Amino acid sequence: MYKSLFQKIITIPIIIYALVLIAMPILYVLALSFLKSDAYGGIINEITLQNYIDIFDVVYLSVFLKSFIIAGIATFLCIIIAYPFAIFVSQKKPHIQKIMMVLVIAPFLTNSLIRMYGWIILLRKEGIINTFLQNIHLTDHPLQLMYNDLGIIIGLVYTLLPFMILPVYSAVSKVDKSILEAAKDLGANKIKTFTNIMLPQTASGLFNGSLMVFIPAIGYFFIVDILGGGKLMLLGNLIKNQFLTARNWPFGAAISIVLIIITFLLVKLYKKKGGNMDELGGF
Amino acid sequence: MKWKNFYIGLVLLFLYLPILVLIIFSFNTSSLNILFEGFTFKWYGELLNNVSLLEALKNTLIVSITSTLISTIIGTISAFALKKYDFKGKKIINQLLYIPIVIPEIVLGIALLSIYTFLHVELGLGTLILSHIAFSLPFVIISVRAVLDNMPSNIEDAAKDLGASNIKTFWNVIVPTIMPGITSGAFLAFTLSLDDVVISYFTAGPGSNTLPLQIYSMIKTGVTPDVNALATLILLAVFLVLGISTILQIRNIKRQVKV
Amino acid sequence: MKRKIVELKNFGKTFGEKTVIDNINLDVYEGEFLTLLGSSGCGKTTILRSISGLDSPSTGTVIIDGKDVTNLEPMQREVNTLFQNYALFPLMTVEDNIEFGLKMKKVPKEERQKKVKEMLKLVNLEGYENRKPKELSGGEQQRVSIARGLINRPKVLLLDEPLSALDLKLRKKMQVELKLLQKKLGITFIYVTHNQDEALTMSDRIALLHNGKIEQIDTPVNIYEHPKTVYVADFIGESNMFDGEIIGINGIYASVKLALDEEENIKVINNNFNIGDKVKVIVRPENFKILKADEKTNSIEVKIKEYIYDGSITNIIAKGKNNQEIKITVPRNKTIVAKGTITYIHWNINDSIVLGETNV
Repeated sequence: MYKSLFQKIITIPIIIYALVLIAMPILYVLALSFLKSDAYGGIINEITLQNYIDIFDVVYLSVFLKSFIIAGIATFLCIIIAYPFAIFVSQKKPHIQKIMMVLVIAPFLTNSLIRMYGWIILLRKEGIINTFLQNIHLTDHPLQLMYNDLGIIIGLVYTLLPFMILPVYSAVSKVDKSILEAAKDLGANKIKTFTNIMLPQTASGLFNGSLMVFIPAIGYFFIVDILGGGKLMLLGNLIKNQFLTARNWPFGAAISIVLIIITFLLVKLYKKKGGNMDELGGF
Repeated sequence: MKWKNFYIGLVLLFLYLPILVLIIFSFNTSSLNILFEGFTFKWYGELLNNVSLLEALKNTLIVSITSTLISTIIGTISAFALKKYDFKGKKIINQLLYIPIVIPEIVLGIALLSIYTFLHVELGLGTLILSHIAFSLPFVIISVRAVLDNMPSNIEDAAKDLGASNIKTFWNVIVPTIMPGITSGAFLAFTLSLDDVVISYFTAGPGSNTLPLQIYSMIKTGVTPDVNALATLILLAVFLVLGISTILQIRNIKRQVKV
Repeated sequence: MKRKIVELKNFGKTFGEKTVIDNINLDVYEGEFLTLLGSSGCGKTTILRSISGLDSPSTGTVIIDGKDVTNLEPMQREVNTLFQNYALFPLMTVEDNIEFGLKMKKVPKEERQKKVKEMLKLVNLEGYENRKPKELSGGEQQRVSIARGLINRPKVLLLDEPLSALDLKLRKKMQVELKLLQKKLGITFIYVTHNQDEALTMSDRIALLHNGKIEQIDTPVNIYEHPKTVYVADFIGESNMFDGEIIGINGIYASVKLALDEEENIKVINNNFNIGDKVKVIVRPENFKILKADEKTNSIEVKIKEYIYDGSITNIIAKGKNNQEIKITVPRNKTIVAKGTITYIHWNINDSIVLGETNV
């Protein structure tokens, strides 16, 4: 009796959590996505597939496409920036490595919106970068650095870069240095050593980082709002609008379900390639 | 070697550029944030008069501290329970835990908003705290689990063998042993909660604005430089905490290298 | 007869479909050193955990000091365990580790400190109070775990392969120390190991487990010299096993025809055999004598194949007429015949262990 009582007490909270805060909300969204909405934002209890059919409208399909392209570019840029960074840092002494990684994480413990605001100061027409470029006469008129795709991509890369650096760095630092030396010793040049040894051994870290950049990038509506100027619409904004402005919850729910399915497929692929779920999120 | 250091420096510059700008402008006499016109502390003084910002800060601290505390306690207990016991639905729960980590935050945000509305729960600090627990708990569990998996398996048996009850075994032996995992999980939960924009955006009610939400609306309507002052203060606090913990960790690394 | 301190009655344990322990009965007497010996997976640790209460049997009862404890928690049993790899609490000091059992019993602080001092003295660790387990050698950690396990003065101390993590030399030293400690304190030890040397040197009695059953429970001498089954004979020490058939009975003796050499018959002690019984004749390698010629009864022809030098002894590999391999051990200085020579080996009638079909 005693044993089972203790067991009950410590297993109940997680069961309640999983049911009430995860399973129920997600299942409710799934149910919503098959219902109709009225003109005033109310929900009509009538089952329909219309919400899913609506997604195939060119307008919405183009939002999907645009979101994936922007998120894809941001992911690609994060890899390009993070991979060499991780390799170079891993060649440093242990305590320097530690300091470097703390320096990477530190900014992200501060408010991300404040940092976005820092970018506004830097990027806007009369901002620091434009003032600087004009002062050194690289350009005679201010450049459009934000309120466009460029602004969004800068914001996404900046916000999500650590989620690429952390798993990639952890994968790179696990590569046995003696293997790299052995490859050199056996006559492999730098490029061959990289493509034959470094890349395959760090692939799961890259995949991990890509997931953690690509998926959030699709949903970060506030970056699009702030640095995209609100003119552009990506999936995050689309969902947000369906719930808060257009008040067509069932349609917003359908888009969310599609997003969940895409996420699951990507995660499944990650697992299939030997990725560890517990390492997702930079652990 | 030099160009590698240069590259590292360049990436760090990218990460710190917007922060440096904020710090510098927090001391600027002009309120326009365009040119540095003169040095002043006045924005720090004004910060104390910005009622809505301070209110938001207070809300943020209430939500973050409460949700971190609850997530840490439940997360620690649950990581232990999930490792030790087999029960119905354990496999499904283990899968469900990854949902808040992998799905886009906005989906969890609208899902929570929907269920609160469905259940007629009024949005406010309560729903914010609940939502923050929803997304931070799995991070605590994973963090604790990593340490729990490395714990010598039979110390639990040893404690019971020496007459400890289940509760005493957990509290006197297991908790101290997995403390590093608990603290790093709590730290993670706290920072995630402090900075959350997306989920709070959907689950906060009128009058329960958090700091990120307040700044969000300020950015859209016009930022006053006292926000820069606040940012600088937050940064100062973060670097103080991180600096101390890093120095301690580096000392550890160095000691291990010596041994 | 001594008092029974631990009794297992019709004790069984199954995990799902798998039967680990199959309905055994075991009595342990007060003050004895009993070893549960067996290869890994034979269920010996399961028995130990059921006595300590960390596990419970699927069937049967566990009785400690006359009291049925089958359904009691570990905290309600007056037994303690020394675990494999010590299981010291990593963040506690030596003192806190040793004190733990008393704290759980809510013993007052002054008494705790006094007892910890006594234990530290007992295991020769005075002055180590404030060290952490990490800062101790393997042997020192072992001593801490002994002190921690004994401080509650348990009626029985359970030892789960406690020496397996130590290197050979230290292990030998700790074997002696544990044995002396047990005699000094008079506490019953139930010791689990897969190491037969450990079992033979330390135990008062050995219970050899196999396939969830007790194959034989006896003193080390009897287990070695009078194994009751082929498995025991094979498990304990080195042995040669020859197939044979009883072909004649003559009072207290019987004669056996060996498959090894069909022309020679050997004499063994008659143990209610009948003519025609199939038997196994088991001979320990050290009981053979090498002869120059076929000069004695009870000798068979062999061909010397290989010498293996092993310090104080020499091992010889020979082959019988039917090509069966025979292991022979002789003292180091014994003059020995050259490799390839055909010669004879002899052993005493008393040195044959003869087991009939039923003992297989």
